Amino acid sequence: MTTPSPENEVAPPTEPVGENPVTSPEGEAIPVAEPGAESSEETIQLEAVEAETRRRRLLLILLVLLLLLCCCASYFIYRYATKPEPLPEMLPVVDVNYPPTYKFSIALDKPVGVAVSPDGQRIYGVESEKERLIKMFDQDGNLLKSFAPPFTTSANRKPIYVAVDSKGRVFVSDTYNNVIAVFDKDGNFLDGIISRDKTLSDVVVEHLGSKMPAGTLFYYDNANKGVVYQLPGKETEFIPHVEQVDWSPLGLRFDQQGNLLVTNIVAGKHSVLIFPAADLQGSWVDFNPQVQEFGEEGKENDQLSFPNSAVTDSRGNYYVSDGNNGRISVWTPDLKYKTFFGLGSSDSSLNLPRGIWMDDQDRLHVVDAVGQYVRVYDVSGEEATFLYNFGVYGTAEGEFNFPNDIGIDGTGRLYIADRENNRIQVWSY
Amino acid sequence: MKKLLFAVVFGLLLVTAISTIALADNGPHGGFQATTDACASCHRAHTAQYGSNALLVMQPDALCLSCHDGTGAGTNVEDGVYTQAGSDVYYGTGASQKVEGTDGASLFGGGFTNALMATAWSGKVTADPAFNATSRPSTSAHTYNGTAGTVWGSGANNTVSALYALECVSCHDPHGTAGYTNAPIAPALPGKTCIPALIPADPAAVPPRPAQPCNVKVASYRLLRWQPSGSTGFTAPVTAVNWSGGAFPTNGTTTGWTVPDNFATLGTEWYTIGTTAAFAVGDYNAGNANNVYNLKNATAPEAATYIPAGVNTAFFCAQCHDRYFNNSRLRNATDLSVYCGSPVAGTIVNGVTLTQYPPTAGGQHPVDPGRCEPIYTGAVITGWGDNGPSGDTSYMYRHASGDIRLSMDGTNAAGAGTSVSRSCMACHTSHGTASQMTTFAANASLAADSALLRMDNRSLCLRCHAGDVNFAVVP
Repeated sequence: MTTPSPENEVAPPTEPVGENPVTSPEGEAIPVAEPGAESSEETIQLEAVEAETRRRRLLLILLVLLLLLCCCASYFIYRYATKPEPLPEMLPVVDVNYPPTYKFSIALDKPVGVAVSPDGQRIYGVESEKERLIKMFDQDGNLLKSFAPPFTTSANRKPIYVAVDSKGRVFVSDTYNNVIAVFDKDGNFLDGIISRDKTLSDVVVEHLGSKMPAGTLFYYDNANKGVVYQLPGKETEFIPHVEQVDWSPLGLRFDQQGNLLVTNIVAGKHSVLIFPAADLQGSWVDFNPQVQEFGEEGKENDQLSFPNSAVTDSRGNYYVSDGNNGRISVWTPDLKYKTFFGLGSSDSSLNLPRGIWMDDQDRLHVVDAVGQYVRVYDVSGEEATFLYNFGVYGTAEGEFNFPNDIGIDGTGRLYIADRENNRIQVWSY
Repeated sequence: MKKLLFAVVFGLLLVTAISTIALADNGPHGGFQATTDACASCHRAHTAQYGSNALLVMQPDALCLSCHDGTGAGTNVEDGVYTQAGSDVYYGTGASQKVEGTDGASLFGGGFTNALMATAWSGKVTADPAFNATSRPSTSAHTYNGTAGTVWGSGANNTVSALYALECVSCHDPHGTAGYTNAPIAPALPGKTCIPALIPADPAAVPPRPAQPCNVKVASYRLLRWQPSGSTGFTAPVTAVNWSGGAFPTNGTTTGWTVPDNFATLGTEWYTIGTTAAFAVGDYNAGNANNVYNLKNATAPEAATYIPAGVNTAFFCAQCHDRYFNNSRLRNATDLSVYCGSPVAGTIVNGVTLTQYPPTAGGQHPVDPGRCEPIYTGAVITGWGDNGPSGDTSYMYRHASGDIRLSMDGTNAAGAGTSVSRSCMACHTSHGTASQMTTFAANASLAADSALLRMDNRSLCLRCHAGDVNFAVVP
C-alpha cells in the first residue's frame, strides 16, 4: 500500500465528481456536481425567481384592486357632482330614512286621487274638475286611457279616491252617487258597490228576475235614487226607490291581505268599513260581505271627522287619516281605539291630513292638504316617530299646492296628487 | 410596497368619504309653523301666503274648497249638493217635506260648477215628492275665486255697475256670525221684541239640544256675514230714502245703515231667508202657502221654525246690489211726511216729524193703498215696496221685496190673496244656477245670461203671477 504523499495526493476536485465519474466518449472526464452543492444554488435561484414572481403577482393584484377603487371613487364623484340625490340602483330601496326626490309630473285636471297597479306599470289619477275622468298612465306618464262610470257626465259624478287590488281591478269612490265604481285594469266598467250589502248587479238581476245579459250597462242615479240600466240594444230603463243606507264612501285602500278599507262619512257615523278580501271575489250578485266597522263621528279621541283614508301596518294596526280632526287615529287589529298622533303644535303636527300610505318598512306617509307637504312617520314601534317631510307650497317642480293623495309602488316611487297644480307628481326614494 | 399600501388605504378612505357625503345630503329637514290646532287649519302667523290681515295659509277659494268639495264637509258647493247623508235642515211641510241636507239633495244656493235643480216650467220644487232635478253645468254664478265680476244693480243711480272680485269670505264668515253656537247673550234690549221659543229642543242632535230661550243667538243662515266684505252697507241714496225711524237706526257712520234686529245689540243681527215665523221663502207653486221652503227642525212641530225670524236676506244682497234699494218706496212719493212704515212717535227724519200710523190688526199699514206698499210685519220692516220710479234710467222700477201681499188669485186687489214672503233668494240662487235662457229671456237681463234665476226663462214670474195672465203658457 502506498502511503499518500503530498506528491501523491489527489487534488480536490474542482468540479463536481460523482461516484461514478462520467467520461466523454473521448474519455475525458466530465465533471459532475456534487449533489448538495449544485441544488443549493439552483434552489436559491429558483426561490428567488419564485419569490419575485409572487411579488410581481401580488403587486399586480394590488394594482388591479387600486384601479377598481379609483374607478368606483370616480363614479361616486361623478354621480354626486352631477345629480346630488341618492343612487337608487346602488343603494337599497327605502332602506334608509331620508326623503325621496322629485322626478317628474303628469298633467291632469285637479287630481284628488292617485293609485298605482301592483306591478307598478300603470298609474291611475282621478280628476276633480272639467270632465272628472279617471285617467290611466304608463310608468313614464304617457296617457293610456280615460274612463268614467256609465250614464254619467261631469255634472253628475264626482270621483275622488282610487285603489287597485291584487288583480288590477280599479276601485273608485264616486261621492256624488255614493258608489264604489269598479273597473278592470283597462278601465272597462265592471260593477259598483252601492251599499254595504248591495251592488248594482244585485239590483239589476233582482229586477230582471234573471241573469243579466252580457253587455248590460248600469249605474246609480243618486239625484233620483235609483239604478239606471240598459240591456244590449234596448232603451235605458230606471229602477226607482233603491235606497242607500248609511253609505257615503270616500277613502279607499287595500291592506296587505286584500281587504278593502273604506272610510264612510255618513253624518254622525264617520267610520271605517272593512270588506273582507274573500267577499270581493267571484260574482257580485247576492253580494253579502261580512263587513266590519269601527269609529263614529266626533272630536273625541276615539272619534273621527271626515276620515279620508285608512291603511294598516305589518302588525295589523289600522291608521286613519282623521282629516277634520287634524290627526292620525290608530286602532288595534281587533278594532279597538288605541291612540292618535299628529295633533298639536310641533314640527311634526298635521293640518289637514288626507291620503295616507304605508310602505313595507312600516313608514306612514301622510299627505297634508293645507300644510302643503307629505309627512313621514315610523310606526314600527309602539309610538309613531316623525322622520321627515318633503315638499313645500308652490307651483314649481317638486312643490305642492293642496296635495290630496299618495300612492307608492314596490320600487320606491311615490305618486302624489297635486290638486291645485293640476298634476300628479312622481318622486322616488 | 409601502407606496402600494398607501395607495390602497387612500383609495378606501376616498370611497368612504364620498359615500358619507352622498348619504349626508338630502337629510330630513323641518319647518317653522306657529300652530294652535284649529286656528292652524287656515291661518299662519308667519308663513301666510294670502291676505296681509287675514294671514291665511292659502288663497281662500282653494282653502274652502279643500273641504267644501265634499271631502271635508257635507256641503258640496261646487256641485250644489249635500254629499253627507243625514241633516237637520228641512224644507217643505207635511208629506212634501224634503230635507235640504239629505244626501244627494240640492243646496238652496245652487252650485258654482254644477247645480242640481228642476228648472223647467213643469219642474217640481224640491218640496214636492215628485221633485225631478237634474244636475247640469251652471249657466251663471257668483264668482268666488277673486275673479272680478259685474255687480249688477250697484251704485248710485245712472252709474255703471261696479266690478268686484268676490271670494268665499266676502259673504261668509268662517268663524261664524253673531255666534255660531247657542251661547246665551245679554237679555233683550228694552223695547225690542223677543220672539220666544222658536228654537225647540232637538233630542236627536249630537249632543242633544235643549229648547233655547229667546235671548239666544243662533247662526246666521249659512254663516253669512252681516255686511258683505267690500260693500259699504246700506248707502243712503242721493234721493232720500227714509226708513221708518226707530226701526232702522244708523250704524253711527255716514256710509251705512244697520238692519233691524229683534233682540240683540247692534252688530249681532243675523240673516234668515225667512221673514216670519211661518214662512221662509216663497216657493214656485203659486197659491200654495204651505208648500214653502220652511227651515225647520226634524223633530219640531210643523208650525215652528228652526231659525227664528230675523232679517230678510234681501238686505244682505242689497248691500252690494244697492241700486235695487235706491229710492225704494218706503215713503209717499208726493207727501214726504207720509211713511209707509210705522215710525216710533216723535221720530224726526230730515227735520220732519214723522206721523205715526198704527198698524192694522193684520200687521199691515196701508196708509194709502194707492201710494204705499205695506212692507213690514209687526214691528219689523221686512222689505221694501216699490211702485214708484227710482229716477235711474236702467233700474227705474224694481220688483218689491219683503212681506208682499200681492194678489195671488189674479184679482189684482191689494191685500187680497195669500201673503208669501219674498227675498231675493225666492227667485235667485246665491252660488250658481243651471237654468236655461232662450230667445227673449236670453237677453232680457243686463247680464245677458241666466242671472242666477232658479228657473228657465221667466217661469218664475208665472209661478206667482199665472193668474194675472190670461193665455196658455208654453214652456
